[in-house]
Amino acid sequence: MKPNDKLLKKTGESTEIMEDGKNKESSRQAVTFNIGKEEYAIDIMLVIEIIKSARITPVPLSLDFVKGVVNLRGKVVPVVDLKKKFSITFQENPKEVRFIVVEIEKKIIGFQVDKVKEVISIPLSSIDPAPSIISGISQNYIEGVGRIDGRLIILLNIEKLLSEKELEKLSV
Amino acid sequence: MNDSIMNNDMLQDFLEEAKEMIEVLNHGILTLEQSGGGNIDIVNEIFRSAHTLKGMSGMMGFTNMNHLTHTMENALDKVRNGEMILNTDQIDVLFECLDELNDMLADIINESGDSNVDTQETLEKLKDMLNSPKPETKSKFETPVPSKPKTIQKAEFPVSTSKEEKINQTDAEYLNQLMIPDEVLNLFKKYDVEKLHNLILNDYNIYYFKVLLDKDFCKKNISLIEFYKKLESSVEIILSSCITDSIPDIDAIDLKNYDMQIVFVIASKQTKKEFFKKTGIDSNKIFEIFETFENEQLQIQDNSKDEEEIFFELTFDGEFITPEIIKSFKEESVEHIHEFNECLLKIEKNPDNFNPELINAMFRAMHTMKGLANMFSLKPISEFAHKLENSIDAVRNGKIKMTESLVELLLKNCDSLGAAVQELVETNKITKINNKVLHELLNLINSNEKPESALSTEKPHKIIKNPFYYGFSEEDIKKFETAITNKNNIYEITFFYKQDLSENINNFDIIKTKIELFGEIAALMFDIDEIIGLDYFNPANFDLPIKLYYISQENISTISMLTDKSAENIRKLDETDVKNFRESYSKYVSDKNSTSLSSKIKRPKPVRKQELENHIKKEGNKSETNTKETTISIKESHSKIKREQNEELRRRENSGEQTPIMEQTKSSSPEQNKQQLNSLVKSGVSAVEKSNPDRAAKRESEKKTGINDSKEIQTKPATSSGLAQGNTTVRVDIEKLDALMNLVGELLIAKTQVEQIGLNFDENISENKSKLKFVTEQLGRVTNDIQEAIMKTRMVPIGTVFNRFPRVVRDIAKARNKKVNLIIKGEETELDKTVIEEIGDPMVHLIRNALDHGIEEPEKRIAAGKSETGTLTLNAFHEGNHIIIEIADDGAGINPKIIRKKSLEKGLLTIEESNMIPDAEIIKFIFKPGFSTAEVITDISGRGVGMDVVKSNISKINGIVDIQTNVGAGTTFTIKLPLTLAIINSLLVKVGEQIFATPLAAVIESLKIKAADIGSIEGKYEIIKLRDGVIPILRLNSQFKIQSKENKDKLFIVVIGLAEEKYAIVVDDLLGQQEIVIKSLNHKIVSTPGIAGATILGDGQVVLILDISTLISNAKKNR
Repeated sequence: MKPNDKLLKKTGESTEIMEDGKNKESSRQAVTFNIGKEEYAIDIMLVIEIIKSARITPVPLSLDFVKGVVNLRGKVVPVVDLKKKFSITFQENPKEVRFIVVEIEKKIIGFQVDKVKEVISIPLSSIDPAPSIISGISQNYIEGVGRIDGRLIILLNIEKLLSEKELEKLSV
Repeated sequence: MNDSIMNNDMLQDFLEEAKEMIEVLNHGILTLEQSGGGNIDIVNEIFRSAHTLKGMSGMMGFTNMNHLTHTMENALDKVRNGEMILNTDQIDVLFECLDELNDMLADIINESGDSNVDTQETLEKLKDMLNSPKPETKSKFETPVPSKPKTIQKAEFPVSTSKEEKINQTDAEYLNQLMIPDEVLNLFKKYDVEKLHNLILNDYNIYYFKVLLDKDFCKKNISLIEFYKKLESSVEIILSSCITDSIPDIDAIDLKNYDMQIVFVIASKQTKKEFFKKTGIDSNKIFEIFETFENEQLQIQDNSKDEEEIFFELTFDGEFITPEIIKSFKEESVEHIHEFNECLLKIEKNPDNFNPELINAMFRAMHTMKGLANMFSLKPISEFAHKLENSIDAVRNGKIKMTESLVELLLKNCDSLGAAVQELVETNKITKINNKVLHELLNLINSNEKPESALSTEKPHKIIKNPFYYGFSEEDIKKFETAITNKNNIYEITFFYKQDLSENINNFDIIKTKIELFGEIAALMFDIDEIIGLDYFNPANFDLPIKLYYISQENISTISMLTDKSAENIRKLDETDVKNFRESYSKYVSDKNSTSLSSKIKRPKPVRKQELENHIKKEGNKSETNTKETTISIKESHSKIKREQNEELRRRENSGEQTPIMEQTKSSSPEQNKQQLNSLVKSGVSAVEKSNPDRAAKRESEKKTGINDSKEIQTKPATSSGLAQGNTTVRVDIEKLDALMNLVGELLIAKTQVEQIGLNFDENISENKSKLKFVTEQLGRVTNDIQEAIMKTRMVPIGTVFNRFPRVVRDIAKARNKKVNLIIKGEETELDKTVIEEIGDPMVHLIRNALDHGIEEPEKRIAAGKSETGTLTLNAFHEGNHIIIEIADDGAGINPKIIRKKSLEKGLLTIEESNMIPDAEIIKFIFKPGFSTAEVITDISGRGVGMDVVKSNISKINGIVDIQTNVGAGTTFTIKLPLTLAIINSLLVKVGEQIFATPLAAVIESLKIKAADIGSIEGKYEIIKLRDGVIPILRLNSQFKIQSKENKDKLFIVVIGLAEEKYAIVVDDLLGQQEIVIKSLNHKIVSTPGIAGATILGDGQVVLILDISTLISNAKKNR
């Protein structure tokens, strides 16, 4: 019910995706990416675009996981380093670093990830509820864990990641 | 009144007009006071403004404001007539009224409804004013009361100021005599009747007409307010109102042609023709004059001049009427009479079952006839036609039945009219119109109408404002009752129907069909509650609320999903609601029956509903035509419901038959509905799309035209939030827009040139290179011009702020017993709207200070050898990219010694510091919060808040305040403001690796220093000595915790000033000056104190803009 609810809210673009039949109620389409060694996924409906490189202007006094702001076709968009946010240490390959630009609560924000993999359809049946702790990431941010061909994909609830509550907690 | 309904544009218009009027009033009353209260021109001017304000507020339904302005108008009328001369106290009362009006406006902006400012006290004062004894000398302005004998007794209308607003029996009868229809009669208030009566006594002609909101205004793009003003300037408006009664009686709701009627009753000494000429209102173009009551007509009615022969000659009246026009008039008249005749004959053949269209055709024919006759001042004919038209109207409205005898009479009358026209055609003269038959006809109609008019005088408001009548028919209520007994849910779903129906119609149609699958739409109607308010009608953006009553077993969340969330409101009705419906209905029926209008409501409701649906269907068809081929071809593969709908569609295509879709849905079995719903709930919209491919296709076509649900949802809150802020619009001079248009044209030309170069760039590189250079230059020039032009559209003359100060100065000067002459210069200087909004408050404080502390009492001034009257000068002018506002007084000036003493007393600085600070600097301490030199706190100043407000407001808009003062000679405050806020000039500086933009408005100077130049106080605070001053140092690297590569020999400081403070920012490098567009850092996670926003440089790099005021306050905190 919940994913459907979300889809219902979407604009015309989303209905098109539904019409071409790939995304039945039985599965979810998601973009998968790597942070460190783990594979993560976010709902494709949230993603606006994925960009390769960007010149980041650091913002002084901002939270440590905020990399700064970039120019996205005339818009100033903040960029969050997910690796820092999840306190993961990993030497990424700079050539593979991507920024996933998403829209959350009508605001556009970019997430830096170590590598973007693919767009996949995860059957709902293969999604398990989140275990209590995955490598330091709070359970709150995780919608579930999908298993496809032996791969373990963590479905992130990216909206919660930057919710007011979270930010308040941090600023205190 | 619902916020979202109340139309924003209309309200904006009203607010702007009202503000203007209040300003005029303000100015007028001030001048009146100065000129000793006797200037009749000014009195007239303020009277007009009060009158306009009254009219507008009445039209908008703000009764409180209406009442106040009306009383003001009464008072001013007395002044105008020389019955009263205003003294200072009375002028004060008038000012009080203005203040209250302003409060009301503020309330309206905030709440978008009628204000509840308490006007009682002011009203009492005004009334006292009215009752004040009349001066002995009669003014020449008093209009002599004519002694013409009239049938109406003057004694019946004592001019009283009684508060009773409803009209009494005698008044109603009187109005009835004027043949003013009951619907309008009900709108009359006591004072309206008095006014009407007086005007008639003074030989005014009374006209009554209706304008149709949509047809006459919206579709012709005419502003109702403009129209009103025009009308007002030439005639006396007795009444203007929106007829609410007409709503429940619209049986055939044709939304496309749905019109809100606004009725005007006006009085004018002009004949109708003159009236049109003068007002420039073309009767054919703008509105239809339905009925007129000219004095002659009244006499005819009262004195039965029936048999009098009328001689009339058609003359060539100046250049306006040419023989050709007369010829065409004759031809047309004959045509119209012929048509009228023909329709009558058709009706006669089948009197019981005639086509209503025939009646309409007759009505039109007579109406045009009347109009034509009026154009040539053929009064006998126009009057005759008018009366015939009235009779037909009565038939049309169902007031009387079309009987054989009526047809007979109409035919006879038509013959006499025809004879008269024939005579005119042949001889250019009319000798006689047979009035006898006409009177028979009128008698017949009057006898039929009598019971209604008799009753309506008794209870005039019942029909209109019965708050309980919902407009349901017997059948509807029965449906509700059955639903309740069957434990079905009833929902009231409210939609808004955009004036432009085509925009919404498909959407609504889809939703309706969708929800019909799971329940029954019991009724569909206008939300009468919303329409009844006078403040409703809005020509620009007519949003009609429609309520859909829906019976279904499903729960409310399902319903809301079904409606695609486009419904404005969904409410579940319970038993009590239905009971209310029932009660109100019975009440309504009994009311209506007793007023002999029962024939109207007996018409079954479903007709209304079906017509609306058919209409909606018709509209929907427009888009369906594109997709209907696919619809039919894939028809086979779908569910039964689908098939039925398609068949229905096809049937209609073939036969043009208009079958309501409701029948179809009813016939489908509940089980299917249930299934359908289950799948829908499971899979959301996609299920609907899948099983209803034609719907999906339709959605497609909708998408193409750019209309979809989400857009609707998004736009709604936007408009309502715009309303809440009240003043978000800018009036732009059309010249500015024209200039902008021209520039855009140039831009397009440049674009084409670039495209052309791009097309064959490789062919002739060298030539194209030079061309490109040229075009680039051109593009650069045009974009700069466009930027400037856009800026200009945001510019508002500062006069709008300055103009409120004369009043402030007057009040304070009076309270302080000072004499002040206010001089205003440079009102036309333009400033950005946002800046204008911020500058008002600080200026009030500065002016108060100048008057309270600056300018001395007259005695002191004389003692000091100055003139008795002090001068306060407000001046505004451009200086580069800045606007300078000066507030100068010739008062006592500010004594630095006193400031020093006070600052020490209040502990704002130590003796040590005090010794270090020069006089010029110490004066700036007046900006410190809590600082006040006043020994006593007065109602005007002394709390030490004002200057703090000045400083903070001005800092907010990147402004700087400066003070120049000479003891004994006066003080000048200089406010330096940036021209605009969206694009600023900035100085780019580098600290470490990072570039920051400093608003140039705040930059005073920048210079190269050595690290050794920086000194310190107490080894803690860094300072730099610059000329004769000491400026504290502000280091960005420490504030922002960033690395800077200190080069001890080559440092730069940027001296910034904000309000009265100066700081020196240490930077590694200066990169230059650049115009930047401010972009907000649109996210919490990157909002940082000290950073105002970001901008994008030419190379695409994002650069942060420094927030000077926060930086300074942070620096102070750290000290």
